[in-house]
Amino acid sequence: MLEHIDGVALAVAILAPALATLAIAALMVTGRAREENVVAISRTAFLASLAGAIAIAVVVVQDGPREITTGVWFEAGHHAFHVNFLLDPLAAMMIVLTAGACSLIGHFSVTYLHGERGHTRFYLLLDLFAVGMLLIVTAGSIDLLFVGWEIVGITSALLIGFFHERPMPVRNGLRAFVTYRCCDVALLVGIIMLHHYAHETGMHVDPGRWAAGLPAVSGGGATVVGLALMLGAMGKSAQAPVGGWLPRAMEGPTPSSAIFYGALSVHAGVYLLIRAQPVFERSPIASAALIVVGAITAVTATLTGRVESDVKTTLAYATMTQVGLMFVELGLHLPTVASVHLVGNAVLRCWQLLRAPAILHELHEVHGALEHELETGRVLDNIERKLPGHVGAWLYLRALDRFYFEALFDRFLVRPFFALARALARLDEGLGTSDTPVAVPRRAATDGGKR
Amino acid sequence: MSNLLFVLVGSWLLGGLFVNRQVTQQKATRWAVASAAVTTVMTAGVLVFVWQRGPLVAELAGRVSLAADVESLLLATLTGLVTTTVLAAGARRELTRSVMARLLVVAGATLLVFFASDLVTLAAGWTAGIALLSGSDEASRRFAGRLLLTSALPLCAAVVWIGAVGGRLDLRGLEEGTLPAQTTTWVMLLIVVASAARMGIPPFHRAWVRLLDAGDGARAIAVVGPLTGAYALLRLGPPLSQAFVADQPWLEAWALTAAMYLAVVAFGQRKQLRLAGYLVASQIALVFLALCSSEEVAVHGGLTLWLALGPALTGFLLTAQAIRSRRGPVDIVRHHGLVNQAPLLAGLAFVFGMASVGLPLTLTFVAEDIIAQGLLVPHPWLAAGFVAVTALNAINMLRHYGRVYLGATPRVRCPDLSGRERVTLVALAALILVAGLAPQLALTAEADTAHHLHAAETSR
Repeated sequence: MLEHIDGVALAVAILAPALATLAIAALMVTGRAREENVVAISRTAFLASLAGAIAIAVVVVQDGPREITTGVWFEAGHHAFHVNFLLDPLAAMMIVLTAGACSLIGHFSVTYLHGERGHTRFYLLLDLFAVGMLLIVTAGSIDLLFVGWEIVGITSALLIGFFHERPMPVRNGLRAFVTYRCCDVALLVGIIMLHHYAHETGMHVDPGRWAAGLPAVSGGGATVVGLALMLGAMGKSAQAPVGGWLPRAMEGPTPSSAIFYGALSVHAGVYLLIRAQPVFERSPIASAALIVVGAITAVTATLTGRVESDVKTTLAYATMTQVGLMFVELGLHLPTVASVHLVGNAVLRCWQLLRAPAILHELHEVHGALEHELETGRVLDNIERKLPGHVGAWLYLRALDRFYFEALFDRFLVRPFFALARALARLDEGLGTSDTPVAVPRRAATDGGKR
Repeated sequence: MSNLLFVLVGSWLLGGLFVNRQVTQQKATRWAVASAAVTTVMTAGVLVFVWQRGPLVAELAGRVSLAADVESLLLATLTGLVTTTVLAAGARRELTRSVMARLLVVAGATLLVFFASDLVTLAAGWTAGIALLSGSDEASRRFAGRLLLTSALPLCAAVVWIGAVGGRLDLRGLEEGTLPAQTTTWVMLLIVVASAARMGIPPFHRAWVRLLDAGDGARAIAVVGPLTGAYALLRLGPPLSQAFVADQPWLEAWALTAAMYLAVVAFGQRKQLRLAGYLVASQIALVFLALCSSEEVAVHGGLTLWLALGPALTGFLLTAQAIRSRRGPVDIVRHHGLVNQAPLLAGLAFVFGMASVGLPLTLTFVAEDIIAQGLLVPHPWLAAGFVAVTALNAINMLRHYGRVYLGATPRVRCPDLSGRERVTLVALAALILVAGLAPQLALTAEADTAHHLHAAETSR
């Protein structure tokens, strides 16, 4: 009986939020989107998706991993896009985590966003995000993973700009999208190189491994593919030096921050790298690069997080730190450790971010009950005291400036690019009758996410 | 049955004449939309017929002959779709009786290009399609004048040259290779210039952007929607000079530089329509790039991108034009926050905009994926440039969306889409999404053309 359940459960898990997206879009087009209708549709879809996810997990635990082939989406010449799904223990774990987190956030947002102007839009994007994320974690090929990856990217940018009446969230949403898109170029190149070197991009179950992986590539190909995939993962997982978008992403509503940047989206890069372990195992250079990137991110993010005064921003840097450590684990070829780390961090951060708006209230309640203030941060304070005075001060100042990553990008990439665009626009229009001045982004790179 | 081709061309021309004779604007609009929609449905019907039974050839009085295969009928259907959408959802202030009549006749001339079986008919349709774009206003006159000079003239010169050196003027005769090699190269250069000028490839892009900026969206869309410019390259390239593209690597470099240049210049604009114009031109340059590559998979992707961009760019430009007609020229230096006043317009603008630059699950995404797959291994730098352009355009599209639709609600009212616009644009968006979810139909239709084109380009 279990033979057919996996396909049905998978279809339910993915199609339920997809149909909910279409239904909410139809309600919006026809002008009949009421809060209660939208909530009912989304809740039902998420519960159905969660049920499907649990069924998949049960099947995988009982019968072992399996691949589901549904056909070819399109083919041209020698290139075919196969729509294959892979259900192994890692996918089962992630699909339950994804569907569970989406259900939780969907439920939480009913009251949290009640009466909010963009209520319907939020649920539309949340459902669409669920589709993208479920495609990522169940994809049997990196081609299909890329489709989900792009959907997650666009919904993420739109939800960061959820409170669009203020310019800063919109600007920060665009910044996240810019990072995603630039890093996706590398990911796309990695995928095509994988096609070239391995002649396929499917993930296959290996009895010796806990999680199925991409086809192994050896020699220089492994380094090229590995580095390209790493660059792609760095964007989505907010690793240094391109991770500056994550603290800014906290401009979005708290439920979306929790699910995107606490639980799921920020871990998509780690998930990709776990799947790509066979490639990294054959490339010491790519593995070393993972360790370096992860370590730099972990150190800089933890120092920066400690000088931030805003709870959501601090949590964002804490997430970056942990994801950086996951990169290190993957560079050391410890995918199982990284997987456990991923789930633990996802659950903890999601919970912390959901509690963030009420934390002062809760703290005051605790103080009231104890009749004195809690002493916090003692262990870390002690570490700081052990550092020589000038080192501590130097680190403090660098941390305040977020280690100049964003300022450097701003100065050496963004501004020259816009200067070039302005110059070319002037040239194109004919000197003297230019269409400039252009809308140059303000010094967004250095003015802080929440500040 | 074969006379259907004349019926289709005639239907557009008669529709134009009939609309021009209507007394009231309202009646003219109704007739224009109905005529365009009926002809488009008829064209789609002929497409199905040809797909199943093979190419059609039709003759009129033994003098004019037309021929149509799946490719030309696909493009004819695309022309119909674009024209119908513009007539149904275009800004009423802009779509006067005369403009509507001209658009219908331009569509007929475009079909003449697609169905031409000889060079004279092709050049006549090509020139008429450009000349009829000229209107009573300065912007359209200047645009048509420049296009006649840069596109129609080179094409006509190429046709005259072929005739003068004794070559046969029917397309089948061209394949027999009666032209001297030296002449062939120069004739091909003229055809490439004619194509590039009509597609708005730099340095020929300014006139089109200015036309769009002047608020003449309907004419601007009529030029880029069906992308007639690429057709000359597609139809005349292989029979004239089988190895021309393969022998001229500068073509690919020109196409990539053009796409990159337009993508960067788009970031330097502050007017919404100019930005939209440069973005659209950059995406079109990617079609040119793919068609100029000598890789079969990339050519296949290019042909698919051609089909995919037609509806997406039409929708995108119509939404941009809708804002202009409601608010006047919009700068993108600041946020305009139109989403609260016009949520449906904003939603559709997002779908069309992102579908134009490769939103996942759209045909553009599929086409761009195929082009990248086709280019990366044989031409890594070309592929890297291609992917970079798509990334830049996507970023700029979202930036444009953020500036125009997001931000604080403005005091000036901006009404949402009317019923007519709503029905048309929602249907177009649905079509785009369905085509993206089931792209194989379009890919299969283009497979033979891609194979034929590639075989011709690589055979020596």
